[in-house]
Amino acid sequence: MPVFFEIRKYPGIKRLPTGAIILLLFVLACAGGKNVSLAPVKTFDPDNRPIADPRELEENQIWDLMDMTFFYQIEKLLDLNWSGRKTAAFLNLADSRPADNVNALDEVPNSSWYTNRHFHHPMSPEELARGPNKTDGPESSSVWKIVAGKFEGGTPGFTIVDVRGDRYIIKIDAAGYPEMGSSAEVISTKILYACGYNVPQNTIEFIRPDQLEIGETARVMEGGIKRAMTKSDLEAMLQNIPLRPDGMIRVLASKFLPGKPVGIWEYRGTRPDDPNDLVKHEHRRELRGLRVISSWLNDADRRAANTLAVYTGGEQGYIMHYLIDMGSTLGSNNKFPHAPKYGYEYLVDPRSIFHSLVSLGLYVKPWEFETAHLQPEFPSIGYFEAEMFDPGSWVPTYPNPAFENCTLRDAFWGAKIVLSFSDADLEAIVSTAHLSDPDAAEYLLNILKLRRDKVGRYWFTKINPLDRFRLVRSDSSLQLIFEDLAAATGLESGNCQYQYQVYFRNNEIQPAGKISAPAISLNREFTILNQIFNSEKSLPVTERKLKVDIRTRREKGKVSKKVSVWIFLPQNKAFSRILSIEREE
Amino acid sequence: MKYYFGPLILIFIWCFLTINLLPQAAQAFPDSLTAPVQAQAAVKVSRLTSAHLQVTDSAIYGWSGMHPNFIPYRSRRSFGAHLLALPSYAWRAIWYPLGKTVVWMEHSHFHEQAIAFFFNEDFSAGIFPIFNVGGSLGLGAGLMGFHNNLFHKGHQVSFRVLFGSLDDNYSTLEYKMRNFAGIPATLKLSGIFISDSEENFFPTGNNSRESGKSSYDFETGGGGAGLNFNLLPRLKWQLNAGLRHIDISYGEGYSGTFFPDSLPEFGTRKLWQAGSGATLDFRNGWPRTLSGALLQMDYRYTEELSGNRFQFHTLDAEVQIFFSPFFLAKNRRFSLRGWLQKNYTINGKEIPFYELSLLGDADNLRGYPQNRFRAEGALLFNLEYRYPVWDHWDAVIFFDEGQVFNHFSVIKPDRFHWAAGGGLRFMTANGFIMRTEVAASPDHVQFLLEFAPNF
Repeated sequence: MPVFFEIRKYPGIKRLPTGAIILLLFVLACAGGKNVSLAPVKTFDPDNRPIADPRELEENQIWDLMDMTFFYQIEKLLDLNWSGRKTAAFLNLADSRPADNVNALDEVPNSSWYTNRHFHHPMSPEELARGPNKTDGPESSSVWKIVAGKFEGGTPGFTIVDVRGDRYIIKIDAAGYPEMGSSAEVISTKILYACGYNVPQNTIEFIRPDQLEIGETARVMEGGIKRAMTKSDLEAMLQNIPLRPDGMIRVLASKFLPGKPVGIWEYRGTRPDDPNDLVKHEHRRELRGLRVISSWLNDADRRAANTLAVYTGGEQGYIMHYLIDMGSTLGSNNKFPHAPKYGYEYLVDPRSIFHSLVSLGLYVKPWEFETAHLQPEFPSIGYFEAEMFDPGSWVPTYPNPAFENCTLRDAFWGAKIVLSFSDADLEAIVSTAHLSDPDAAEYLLNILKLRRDKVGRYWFTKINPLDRFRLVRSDSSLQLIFEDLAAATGLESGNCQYQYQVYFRNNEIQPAGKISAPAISLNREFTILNQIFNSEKSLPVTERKLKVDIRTRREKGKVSKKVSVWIFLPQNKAFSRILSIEREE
Repeated sequence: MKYYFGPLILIFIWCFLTINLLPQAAQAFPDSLTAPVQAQAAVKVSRLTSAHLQVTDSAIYGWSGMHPNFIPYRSRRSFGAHLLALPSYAWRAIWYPLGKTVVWMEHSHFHEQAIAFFFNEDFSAGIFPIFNVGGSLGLGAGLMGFHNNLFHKGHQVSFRVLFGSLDDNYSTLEYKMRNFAGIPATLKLSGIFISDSEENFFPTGNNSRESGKSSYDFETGGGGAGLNFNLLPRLKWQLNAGLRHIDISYGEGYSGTFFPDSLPEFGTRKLWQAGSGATLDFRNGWPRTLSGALLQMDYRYTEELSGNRFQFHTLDAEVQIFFSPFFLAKNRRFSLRGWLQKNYTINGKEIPFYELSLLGDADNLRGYPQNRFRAEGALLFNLEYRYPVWDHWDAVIFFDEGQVFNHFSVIKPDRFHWAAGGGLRFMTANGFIMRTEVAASPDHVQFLLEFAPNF
């Protein structure tokens, strides 16, 4: 207050009427009109330029937890850019900060982080089942030589070399929960691969214990100190694995990634020794949208420690970015089933603590008295449920900056990928887990479907779920075709109305139209546009842009937010194309 | 209204500058860093697939220039945005050393090595440092050790030494033998030494004034033996006996006054004690007590060995009840405690003031200084509402009432002293760790930090 009154003492400020200040601000705010570029749509982000061999970044799980839970939360508040935008968003004066690597069609171009796969180029069930696998896993008819211990992650295991010379990390299922961790890892790996992420090759393998041979370099950790692995160490690791009737045991084999591992990548900032890493990770669409995919899989352990940067490409190398360690997904939390709270609140969640505190105990968390995880119906599945699952409030075990920055548009992007998996797709993927109990496989499949549909129902009502826009041109007609994802995935009936308005330079050039099928004829608009350009010869060709606003009215009567599609309509109809897609949040 | 309109305008200006003007201004200027990146991207076209080498044609596209596939995305932050972020940079800088230390500890497996250093392989024995902040000891450090399977016979030994200064320190030693002499009982041998140079002293009586506060130097050492019988799964009975050496001397009071040396117990005394007690425990839940009740009764006989002045009985009764009302979830519960203690002199002899019943502590009547009320008997009621706020965190709202007396006949409702407050309790799956409470009474508002539950 005193500062403000000091300012008022300056005569110049004093003479400026308050109304003028507001008007000025309003004009300035409105001045930034959308200038849609005619540039081709970006489909690739060139972050694969050769870089010098980077140093290895070691994971730091404890500090990451502390930092993200406490220090980073306060740091955000102190960043006036962040708090200013949040305040403005709260006052409905601005949108949330958009992602930095989204092209004009609101999509993510391919990069060292991400490759567009199943949503844009539907994969067959066979392709989905194969996933990232380039081989059939380690050669299991001969000896596996143990060459190193496994010192990261919550699952016991070791590193082997097979007769082909391929290296694999072998992970062992937790005692009492056979098949749980390994099946979760295989299924989630394949789903994340189909979603577009880089993941390692994870396969279920069956081997006789006597095929394992301890090499001289194999080590185990004891009391924080590494020592040589002994036969009794190996026996201790294998003792809880059930022996199958054929004398084999089941393990998970995760193939070493091609290239040199250079440590983790984080969900915020950029890597200082990677000149290709120019987009802050918390503002990458594929990482923000991963929140929705993780919520589907209950991938609550999606944190920096479960990532891997690999320097790949030899001397002309660059860094590829992988998601690893999917053993804490679905119903598994590696050693135990997921605790019911996983996905609902952080390990230390000040918001939840505050709610409980001020409600004086009257607020009961939905999962608070859930005990199904203690004795799950299917030990090979763990604790995985769909009834209480809330896609909107889902959180990982501790704050993930990219997930925290997830906007409605990012979430829609993630949700449409989740909904791109059909029942048959999921069946093909679940079958690769080789679950011995068919009822367990059926249960898991059913929960995946239910959670998928919940994801769609939640996010598709938050934003207008129209996508796959394309122009269909012929000599006689020009149509804007699109897909209503809510209807196409069966979440909503197709009995709806699409209301559209077409603008040229912010002026509506035709009365608003209503259609029941997702196809808008633009013939009249094309003719009108030609007339305008014929009458005003000075107009440059670059001005031949139309904006089509589309809203969806469902049976329930509520009209959705709009999707705006910018279309370039040159004199030659054959070269017309979609320039940009904007979704109202 | 005009007083609030100004700040509102400032908020508007700030928001618009933050979200609109500064980023726009930043983009209006060419980014000197972008140009080399673009050039470099163009050089590395060989890495791109044919799809990325799309030729742009102004005749067809109405646009020409470098294909966007050659221009990398980048997050931009203008100079103004950096200025606005300065407080967050400062915050990060403050915690940077802590972060580096934690990372180093994790990478060097400091935690595992420390555990291996302080504990044996199966965690059945260990010696480790302990620290104390606050309380009568002040700042202190020491060692704690235990062995849960001594001589491979299940014998347990533990010790604890906390040292604040020569005048303020605390040591205990305990040895337990289960199934002692073949009977279903546990023999417990214990030793203790406490030195406290500033123990609170208030004039005795229920109506004593806080302004009469003083302090004394208290030193005690002793040992004892006890036999605990588990008669039934929920019924325990114990016998115990012990010897104590007590030395009372001057202590420097907070207000500069000194311990009133007119009191007869000044000096060195030796007391021996023997007693018995029974506990009926129907409590349910761990580490949270969710329901049930506990009934405890104790009797103790005390006599002076160093003279013939003190001889008295002490009777103790305590009831604890835990229940969850039907309208609340099962782990939201009320906890009630009633405690009554009375000392009786024998043969006209006396009770030393430090053996009188006390109220005023984090364990009984909160919101008052330690040892605030002192008399031959004490009556205390605690009512707590406990509810979970986190996995093993409970919030608690409490109301305490208590009074001290010399005869039962003087107990009256209007003599009760009250305190009320709230706090948090922290537990692990293994048990209680700590509680922090704020308690308000007509005397004080107190912040309490305790490492033991009150009940």
